[in-house]
Amino acid sequence: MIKLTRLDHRLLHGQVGCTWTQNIGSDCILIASDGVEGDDLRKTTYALAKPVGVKLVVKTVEDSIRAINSGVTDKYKLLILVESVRDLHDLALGCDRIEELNLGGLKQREGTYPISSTVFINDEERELLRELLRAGKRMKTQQVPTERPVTVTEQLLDSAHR
Amino acid sequence: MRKILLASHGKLAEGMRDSMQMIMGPHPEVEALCAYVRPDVDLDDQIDAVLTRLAPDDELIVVTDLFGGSVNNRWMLRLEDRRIHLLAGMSLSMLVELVNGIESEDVPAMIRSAMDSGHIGMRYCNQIKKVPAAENF
Repeated sequence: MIKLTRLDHRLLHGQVGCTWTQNIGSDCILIASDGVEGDDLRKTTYALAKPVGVKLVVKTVEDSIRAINSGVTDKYKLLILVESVRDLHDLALGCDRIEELNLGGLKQREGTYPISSTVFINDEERELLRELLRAGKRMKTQQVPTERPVTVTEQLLDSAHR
Repeated sequence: MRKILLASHGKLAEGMRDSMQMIMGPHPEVEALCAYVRPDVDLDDQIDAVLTRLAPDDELIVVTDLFGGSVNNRWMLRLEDRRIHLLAGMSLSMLVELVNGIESEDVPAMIRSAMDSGHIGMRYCNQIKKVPAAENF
């Protein structure tokens, strides 16, 4: 069962390991990222830093879609992490099982504007999020479980700009 | 109600609370006591103020910075007050587990487990030899 699908540019870090994993009772974390899958140093760092008693799987986005759709992940209380809107878009559109998305953090970059206190997007990312909403995916911004979640709508995306 | 009080020489307690909340969000049940910041404020008076505000059926987990230091020593003298659990050697990983476990029914067991997390979280990263194998579903 997919418990949480989270966009966070820091992927697996303190907030995820110390609060989300416990809050949703996750027993398996999937990092869906072509970049991390191909980077042994980052892979090792995440493997060392993962919460005790939780399985960590790293896959490319394409392999993640294949694994989730095959049903092998159904037995886990799965927490999925992606680091970019593009990866979130491709993963969520590739998996019917992923219905709800958590926008946790995306750092400020050239040409970005905030849609919450911790999520900054640019025009291209705004269109990708819009496509997800139109495909029927539900979306909320929420950094940590104790923070009040805010539902992302097309109106909210429209009102956010530079 | 169960509360956590961080107590330190200077501002470590406040900083520790700030860092914890950056990771875990707001937790008003965690408070900070910074000793010796102002010369006219006495540590025993600060401790008295904390205990006065504590209801008879409250529980207070006090986490000090240094075993053998004066902040911990002054709290040791208050241990006849059964509402107090006193821990020394605060760390962020230990605090995270205390906050996560604060509703636990077995407080001493929860505290021991939080202290284990503190120990495990202390690492000389250069010397980590064992690289975990890649996992799959």
